Amino acid sequence: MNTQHHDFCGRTNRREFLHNVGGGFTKLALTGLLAKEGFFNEVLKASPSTSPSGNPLAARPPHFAPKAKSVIFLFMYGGPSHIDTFDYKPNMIGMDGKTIDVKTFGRGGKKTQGRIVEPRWKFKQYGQCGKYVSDLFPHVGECVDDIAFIHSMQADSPIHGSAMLMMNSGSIISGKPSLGSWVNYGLGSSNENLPGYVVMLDQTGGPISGAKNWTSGFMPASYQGTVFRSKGDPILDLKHVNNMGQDEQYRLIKSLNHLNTTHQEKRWDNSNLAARISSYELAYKMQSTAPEAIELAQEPDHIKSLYGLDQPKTEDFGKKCLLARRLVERGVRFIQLYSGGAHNDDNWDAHGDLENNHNKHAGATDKPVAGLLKDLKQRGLLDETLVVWGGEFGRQPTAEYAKGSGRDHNAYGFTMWMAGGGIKGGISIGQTDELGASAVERPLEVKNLHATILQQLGIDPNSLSFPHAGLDEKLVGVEGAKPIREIIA
Amino acid sequence: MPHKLSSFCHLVWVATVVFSTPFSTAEKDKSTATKVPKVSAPYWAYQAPQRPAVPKVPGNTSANPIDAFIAEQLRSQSITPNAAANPRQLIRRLSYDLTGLPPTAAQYQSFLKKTSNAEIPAADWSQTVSEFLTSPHYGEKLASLWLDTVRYAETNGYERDSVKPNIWRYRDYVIDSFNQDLPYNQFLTEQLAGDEIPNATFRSNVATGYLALMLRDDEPADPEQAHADMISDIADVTGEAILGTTMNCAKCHDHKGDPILQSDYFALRAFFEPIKSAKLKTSHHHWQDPAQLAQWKKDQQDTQSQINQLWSSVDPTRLSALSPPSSTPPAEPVSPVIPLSGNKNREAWQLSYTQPKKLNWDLPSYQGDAFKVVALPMHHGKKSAPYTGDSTPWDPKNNTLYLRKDFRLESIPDRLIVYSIGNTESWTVSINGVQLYQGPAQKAGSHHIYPLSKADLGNLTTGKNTLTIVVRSPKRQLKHFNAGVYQNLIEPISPQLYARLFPEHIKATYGKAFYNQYLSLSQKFNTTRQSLAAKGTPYLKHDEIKNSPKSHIHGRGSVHALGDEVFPGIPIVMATSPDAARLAIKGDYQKTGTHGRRLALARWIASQENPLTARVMVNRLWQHCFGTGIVATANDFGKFGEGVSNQALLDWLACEFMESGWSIKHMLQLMLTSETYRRSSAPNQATAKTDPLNHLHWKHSSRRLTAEEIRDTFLNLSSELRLQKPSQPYIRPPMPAAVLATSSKPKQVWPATKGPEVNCRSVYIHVKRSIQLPLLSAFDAPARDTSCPSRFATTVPTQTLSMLNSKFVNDRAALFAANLEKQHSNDVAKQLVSGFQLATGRPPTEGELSELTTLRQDLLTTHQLPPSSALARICLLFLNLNETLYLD
Repeated sequence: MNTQHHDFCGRTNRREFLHNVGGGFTKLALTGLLAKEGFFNEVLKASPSTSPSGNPLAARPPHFAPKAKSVIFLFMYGGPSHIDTFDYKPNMIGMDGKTIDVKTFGRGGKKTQGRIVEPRWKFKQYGQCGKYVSDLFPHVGECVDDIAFIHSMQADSPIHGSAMLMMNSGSIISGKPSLGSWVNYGLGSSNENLPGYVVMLDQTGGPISGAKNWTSGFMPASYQGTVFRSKGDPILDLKHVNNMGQDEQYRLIKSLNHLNTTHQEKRWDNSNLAARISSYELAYKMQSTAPEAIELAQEPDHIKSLYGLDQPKTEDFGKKCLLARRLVERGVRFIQLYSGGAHNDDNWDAHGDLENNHNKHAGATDKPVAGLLKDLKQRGLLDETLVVWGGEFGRQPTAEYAKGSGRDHNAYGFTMWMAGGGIKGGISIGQTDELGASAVERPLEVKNLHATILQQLGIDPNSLSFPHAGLDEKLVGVEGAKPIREIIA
Repeated sequence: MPHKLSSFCHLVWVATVVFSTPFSTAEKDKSTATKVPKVSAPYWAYQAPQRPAVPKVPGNTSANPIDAFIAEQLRSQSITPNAAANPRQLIRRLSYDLTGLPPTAAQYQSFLKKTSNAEIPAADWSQTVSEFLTSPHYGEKLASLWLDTVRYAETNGYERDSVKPNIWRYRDYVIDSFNQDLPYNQFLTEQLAGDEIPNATFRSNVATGYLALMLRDDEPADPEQAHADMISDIADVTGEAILGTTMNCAKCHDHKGDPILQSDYFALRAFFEPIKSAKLKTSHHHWQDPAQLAQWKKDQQDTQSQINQLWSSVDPTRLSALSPPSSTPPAEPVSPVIPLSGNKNREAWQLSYTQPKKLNWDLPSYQGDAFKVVALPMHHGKKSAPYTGDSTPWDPKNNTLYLRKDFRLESIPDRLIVYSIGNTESWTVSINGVQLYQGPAQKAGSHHIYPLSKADLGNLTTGKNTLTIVVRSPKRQLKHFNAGVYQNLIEPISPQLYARLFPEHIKATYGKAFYNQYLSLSQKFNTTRQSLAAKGTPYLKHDEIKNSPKSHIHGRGSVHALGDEVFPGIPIVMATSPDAARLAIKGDYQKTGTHGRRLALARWIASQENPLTARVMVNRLWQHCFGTGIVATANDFGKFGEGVSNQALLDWLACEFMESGWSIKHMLQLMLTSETYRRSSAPNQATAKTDPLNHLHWKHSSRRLTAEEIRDTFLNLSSELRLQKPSQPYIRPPMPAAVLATSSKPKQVWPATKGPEVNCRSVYIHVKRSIQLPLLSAFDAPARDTSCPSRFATTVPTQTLSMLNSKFVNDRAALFAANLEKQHSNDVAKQLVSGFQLATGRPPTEGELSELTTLRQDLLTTHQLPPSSALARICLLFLNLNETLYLD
């Protein structure tokens, strides 16, 4: 068959695709692609109702044995201040209000001097590792022995729009597929009855650029994130607009399948027709699977309160964290939760009153996040679930304005953390300077973070590629990136 | 450290050598050396196409040369191609391919009449193709081919995703150009340099919208780099869309697959280097069509003269009875209730600079002491108020004045007008504690004026009344103020203003009919005036910076690492010689506001000598008709592409294209009248083994409808599709609330279009980069961030959910059903047959009809649906049929 020119839906260059990849990836690429290209026609013809269906989201084997099966990315949209949360800067204590020379770059442009805003919360040590965590995160503090902190993150842009794209798709240029799409493309979904890539948004709205943050970019739309809601219908159009009953719908689909199958018999070489036929079965099942997944009534009270569902301020994010666990249990590969939405103080973008802003958002997420980690751990799921926490950038050590505690954006240095999924606990790597203004030790780029996530999922970050416009595009860029070895167990 | 090359480094076939100039071998100067890519063997795509002889293939009876080329390859593989598709399939295929719409009932009928015995006479088919090519919907369909390729969108993307003003005119330009069959070389020239060509027109200027379609970060972290990236984006899309050459990797280093050097990339980019950042923003440009402008002016004049006529018909002396005869303001021709103060009439008012605390300060009963008594006029600053004399200074620190004055009335007048003169930006007028008006002070003549309405007058009483005025004037300097109350107008005003201020009086004097007639004329007048006032340059001009910038190689694509200087030039490998790569540039900045670089590039691109331009476009057209291009990677004719599957055919088509005068319609006519196009898409067990993916065209490749075709088809089935172009720039069909909620500004992001235009064709839907209608995105409408050479056609369960459950699809099904019921009342069988046929283009078989009849019975009995709902469900099924969504 390798003499043939195969088309991925009529577009990409198969020869090059196969040419580029080593043994492991060939296996991955081939299994998935053959299914899509009609090589299972004979199989389909033999039994049109089975579904190695040409569903582009069917599960595919990884490159090598994965440490993590799923990822939960807790996206703290707006940019949480690292020096007020997990990056302890004792030398700043007592420096409040002092003007110092420091290079910063935020939405207010580049500055060389600023007035120090001393971290507004006290830090104390937690766990066996003795990690200093601020009073914003007392519950997460209890989990530090499971967490690897990366204090030396850097991003290419200190502006929300482009920085969000960077954290989600590896590039400040719009149009690239998001991390979850790459995972979806690489591994498919292990549960065909649920989307493989789920995004849950803040109750105040989406992040800026909206769907660009979970887009499949130049890949087929089937790899894009599906927005999942914790209230009402979890997925768009999951329920019939006029509440058609299940039996009635089943009856309709039955006739539809008969007619579609008759149509397909005379066109047996078109696998897309078969894929559409089986998609009705999958859609039908999704209608019962998805609502069941969000049915939190099944959860006992002590679990609900572990996630903070019993307190108004933590209820919303707690619900999403609990849902995330339930989705992981049901085989969803990539789940992204947004803390913060819309604009200004609806997210972590603390330009005005730092205390108000961070008390609000940390207050809403601390217990739920800790609850998620503890719950995953007690169920033995943390080992195979990679939890990632962080925003698109951090915040500056100095004040943005003449008055007040608001901090501008900072992409020169910020903190993210990972837990579970084969990541070492109780360690911290990299450092920012004394003020937290800039990463000085082991600076790491977003692509290193992405490479680590793919690596843990059993995907070689430097092999997973998609041909586009003459380039073998990769999440980690055409030049590739190394995973962060020190934090991998 | 040399960077690790991505995995395709082993595909390198290009060796680059450095030729130094003969006399400088000793001191090899990098900047004077000419770097030339050495190609191991001439690569076909860079050699100008030569028209090959049409092969004579035994057994091929078709007169169409395309069929001969195809037959030659089929014969070499001993493949017998499929026979022609049946007429219904054919007309449906053709109609969608050329208009994006299903054939109308009349089109089916007239076509099927010609084909009584399944064999379609060649002349009839050719005639049918011509008819579809002249449909106004042809341009709307073909436009999407081009708009995908050039990544057309109407917003900038990124955080604000703001609208590119007027860019929709470019979309209309593309539609019109296809409809007019604008020669492709001219089409390209206008897009690249429509402002630089001799005799540039508004239309050709609109075409340069091509240069402003890219993503634009309005708050970039690195503004210089962002601008450089936008310029590069134009070069990239020009390479991909027009030259079928992907340039991306040459941005950072010499191309790893094709003989394109990094210096070639930046030389090509240099043609676009002088483009102003503002051009890319487009917001300062207000493209106005001169024809439209003239029309508006004429409309305005016409309306004005109609208004004049109307007035003179009722009142030849123009309100002389209403307005004072004399015009000089200070004459005070009518007796004042409270006079405007001047030398002679010092009028005492009560004034406070702060809001009086007592609640009833604006009532006649008020006895408070918060006010001081002052004489108007008041002024501050150098300039004196009219009617000045002695006056009280206005405290310069205060922006607001609280004034009150008691006055007596013997009887209630039928008219009362409050006047002020001076810096009155906004005011609040109250009578006897009742607020009559709050807002901007309206000017009439030299005065601000508030005429009391009939209702307002009801607040007056005989005896003592109190007028209070709160004046706001945030301006810091030159404040002055004077106020008075009169029963009449104290200076003449226009009839229009009079009618606006005293509608009741006009109605009473001239009748309601007159007033309504006047009102509609005056609204029309205002609309055209507003259109005219939306000012801007009528043409796009001066879009390039005056001093031509120097162009350099950007080290690894970074604008901050400038390398060798480069000059506007085409990739050396595409030129006849390295010297010829530097194009002669003749520009006149004074004349066009540009340097002429783009015109030089356009001339080369649109010339017959260009090896790629014609090939790339005929290949796109081939892909449009046959599903896959002769080069399957339509944007990449290079080594990383799929290569050419039938070069003789491609070259023959390219030459034919150029010799036809670059006529796209001619090429489509040729392709669509071929036997190859007309083949059935039926499978063949034997051939499927030899050529499973139909590279040799032994059958027609069936295709799914595109996202736009699906929406338009559904609206067509529900008889809602509006085939006219919308009167507004674009439409926004309703977006489900759940999708709006994913935006950071759910309430502002997508204001839905109201009225019937919401059902205009999908090509007119607003292309917003951060949000897309779920139906369109589910069916693979591209995001248009980058050039899309061909669309995916994916199938996922969430797509199916929207086909079963969404409001849009179910609403269409319900209306479809209602129409069927109306048309075939009391005949269920006809409803089912007609519905099936409208959706799929053919009547159902007996088996299919019995499936539908049984389904209907079950819906009525088991599921207890009323007949109309049952039919709506069956129509939902029709919309979901593969046969509805796929073309044979």
